[in-house]
Amino acid sequence: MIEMVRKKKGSNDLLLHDKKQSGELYQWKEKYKREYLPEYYNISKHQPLYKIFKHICQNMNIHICREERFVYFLDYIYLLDEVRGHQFGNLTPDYVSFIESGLDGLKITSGDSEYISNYNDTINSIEILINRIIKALKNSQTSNREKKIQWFEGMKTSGALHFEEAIQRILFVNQIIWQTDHRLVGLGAVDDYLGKFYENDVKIGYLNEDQAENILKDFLSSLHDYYWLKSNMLMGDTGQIIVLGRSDDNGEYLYNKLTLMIIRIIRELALPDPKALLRLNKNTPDEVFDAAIDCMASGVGSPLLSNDEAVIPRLLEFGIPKEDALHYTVSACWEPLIGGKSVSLNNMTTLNFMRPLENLFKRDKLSKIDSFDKLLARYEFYLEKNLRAVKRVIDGAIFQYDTVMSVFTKGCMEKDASQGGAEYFNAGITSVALGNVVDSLFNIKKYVFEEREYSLLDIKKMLILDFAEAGKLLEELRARKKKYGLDDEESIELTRTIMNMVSKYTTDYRTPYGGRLKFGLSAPTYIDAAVGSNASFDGRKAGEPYLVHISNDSAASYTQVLNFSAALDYCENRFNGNVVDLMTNPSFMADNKEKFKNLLVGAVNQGFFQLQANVVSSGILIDAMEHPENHSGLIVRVWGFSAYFSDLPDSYKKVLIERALKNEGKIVA
Amino acid sequence: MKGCTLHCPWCSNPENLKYHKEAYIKNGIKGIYGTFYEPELLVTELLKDKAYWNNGGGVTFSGGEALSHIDYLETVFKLLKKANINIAVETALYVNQESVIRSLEYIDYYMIDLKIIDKKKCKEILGGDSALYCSNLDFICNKVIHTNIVFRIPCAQLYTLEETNRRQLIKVLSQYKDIRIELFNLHDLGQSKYNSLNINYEFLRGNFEEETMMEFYEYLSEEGYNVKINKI
Repeated sequence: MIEMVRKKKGSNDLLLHDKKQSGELYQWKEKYKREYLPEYYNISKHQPLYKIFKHICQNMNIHICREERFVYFLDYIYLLDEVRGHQFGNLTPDYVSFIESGLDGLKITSGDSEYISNYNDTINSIEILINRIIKALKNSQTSNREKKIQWFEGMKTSGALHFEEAIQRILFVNQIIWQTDHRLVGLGAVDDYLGKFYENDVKIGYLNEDQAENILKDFLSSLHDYYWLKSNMLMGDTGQIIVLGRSDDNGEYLYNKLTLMIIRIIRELALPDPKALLRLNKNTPDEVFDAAIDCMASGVGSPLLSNDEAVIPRLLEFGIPKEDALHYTVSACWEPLIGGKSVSLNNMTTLNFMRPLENLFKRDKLSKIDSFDKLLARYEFYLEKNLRAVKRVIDGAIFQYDTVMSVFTKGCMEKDASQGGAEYFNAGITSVALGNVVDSLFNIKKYVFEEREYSLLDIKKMLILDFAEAGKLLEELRARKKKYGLDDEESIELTRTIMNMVSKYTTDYRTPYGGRLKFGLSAPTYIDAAVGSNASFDGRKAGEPYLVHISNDSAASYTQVLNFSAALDYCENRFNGNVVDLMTNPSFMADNKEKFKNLLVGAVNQGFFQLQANVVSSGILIDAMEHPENHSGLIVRVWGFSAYFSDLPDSYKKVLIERALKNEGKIVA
Repeated sequence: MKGCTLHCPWCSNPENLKYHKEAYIKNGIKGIYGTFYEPELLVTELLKDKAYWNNGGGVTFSGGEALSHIDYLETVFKLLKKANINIAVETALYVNQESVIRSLEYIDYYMIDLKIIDKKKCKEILGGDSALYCSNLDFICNKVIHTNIVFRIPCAQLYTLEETNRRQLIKVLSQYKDIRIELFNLHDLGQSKYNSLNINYEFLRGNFEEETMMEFYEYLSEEGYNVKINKI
């Protein structure tokens, strides 16, 4: 087992991931520590985190590969997973400061507090690790040994000089963040902060384009190491997201050769991870769109697209200064984040929009609700209660004292990140079931308040009995064209109304650390959150998954769902990721690339927030479910991440197959 | 547009053959094919997609036979033109010439079907008058810049690509050598719609062979036509 967990790449990813998720691996590790590493075991149970970190740096296994370009390794045995409070994760650390100044530049040189002492101690621990790596390099037969030694020597005192060296520093920071059990670690705006190194190296003849491309390929391949360990709930959910492209203050589009190279490499490597998010604006040139569509059409699930025209104004309204807003990155999937400066946790909990409706049916005197407006008012009443529960979760979060995160987050010179030291310490929540609620409410409006065919009590009984005595009504509900996702005034208005309700009760809320709360219209838990749920009056039976994001499963056309998304109001605090999920099949996209480009250009102008494409064919998915051995490389988009189809639980596979069949018109949407 | 002047055996839009609303049953659920829109409301709905019509995009009217609705459509066309929108039409041209003439003022791009040329077979199989078709075709090709026209040929083994008809198609095409041609394969994507209308649709079997379409494509390419295959 120890060899297995220390291997970088291997065919045991799924097995190890399953063992990790079940807790079996953790129990094995604790037993191993007790037996073979008693000192570490005792320290990990009784010492503060920065001391455990020191021990890790002093003792973790150093893994130098003979053939690999970069030094990058994790040691599961020494994973800092002694959690004392809410861990920071789903973030992008500050790579730039370390690249530009090395460890010396990160030290706090004035002030005399316990925190500053712990902080500098953490830096010293990192230096210990660096020195151990240098020693291991000297004793190794690794390729380009002297160059690597120079890289690590330089890390202690100065900035990187070259492109390849800068990337090694990214990987070193990245591995420290993973090693200290911060999950879902983003890479930030890689093309932006590496751009000057690339240009400089090319200018002085140190590097050419082909060499840079090979370097980037090795960079991305390294990031994909320890896939099982990095994957969260589901395989593929690693949060290793690279943000590309951006807008400047004048609305011009900024990108460089690295932007296009990285997109091309992601397509060629055909791995589910790492992934890319491409920022767009009205001035994004054709070649960027072309590269993005080529990559999306390959089915690799990247890049997802973020519309600066919609996102940046929302960040500014929220109070984020322009310079930071222009440089936004994202959390693991798509929640906007100020990378390197933020410890905002964007996925603290999930708001289930269906719960207030369930509460209403369970607790209210239904005979007193004699109009649709009254129904909405009662929905709001219960929604407010559910939002109080959300706030209690956030209020109750105690954060782990985390000097490692503080070292790699700008601004933590006086206080630890957990005590509000970082510049941004907001809270974000995701949400499920808004689409199901909108459709349920429209159906209730029709059948109860307009046609008066049923009473609310009748509906309640139907839902409790899971439509068992509903006759043909269930088929009717399922066959009715879904409203959520359509660009008609009614659908947009009701969706906006509910979003307004959430903002009303959350926009003035402050976390214990003075941060604000933001929410988005999507969550990874569209299957899990529905387990054990009642049926809903959009035709969803008990326990069936909720709708996924803002999608076109409802048989809406692409333009309808994009128009719908663009018409929603993302003001105040409603910008924590709002994604249109377009289902399309591979040949359709490949044969219509120019049209897709026109669609995306139009969509940017319309004002969609964010978008991803799930490029799948039902035929292939069905065959892959029956014969996984024939489709080991098949990648699908699950939520805000891609995964190998064969790695997914059957429940997720079935949802994808059903969505693909609906998209192809083979079953009723 | 619902309603057609022909009844092609390979039609994949059976719900658009008749001019009136039709009831259907799909997966046990009843529905109606056809919705009437007042012209202004239709245009309001169409203009929701205006943002996506860069690079010469716009609205394409098809069917059925779009030009058989010229009285209605002329109002719609006027409103779209007022909004500066490009208009295309997919047509088999089996309509009276007046309809074609009236469309000229508004249509920016014609997608014209070429099907069966022989008069007797055209009448028997499609229910159309091929002389009327050829006259309309000639008229359009003399009035419209050829870069704004594309010919579309459905590759039905026993009909459009039958040997005699193929020769007749080539004779027609030879008069308009600079007009682009698209060949497209037959498919069964319309099967569920036939089922929903309780109409037997056995057409596809034996009536499409990729090899025959490729042969025709290669011939046209070698003869210097600008031809492509549209795979559906």
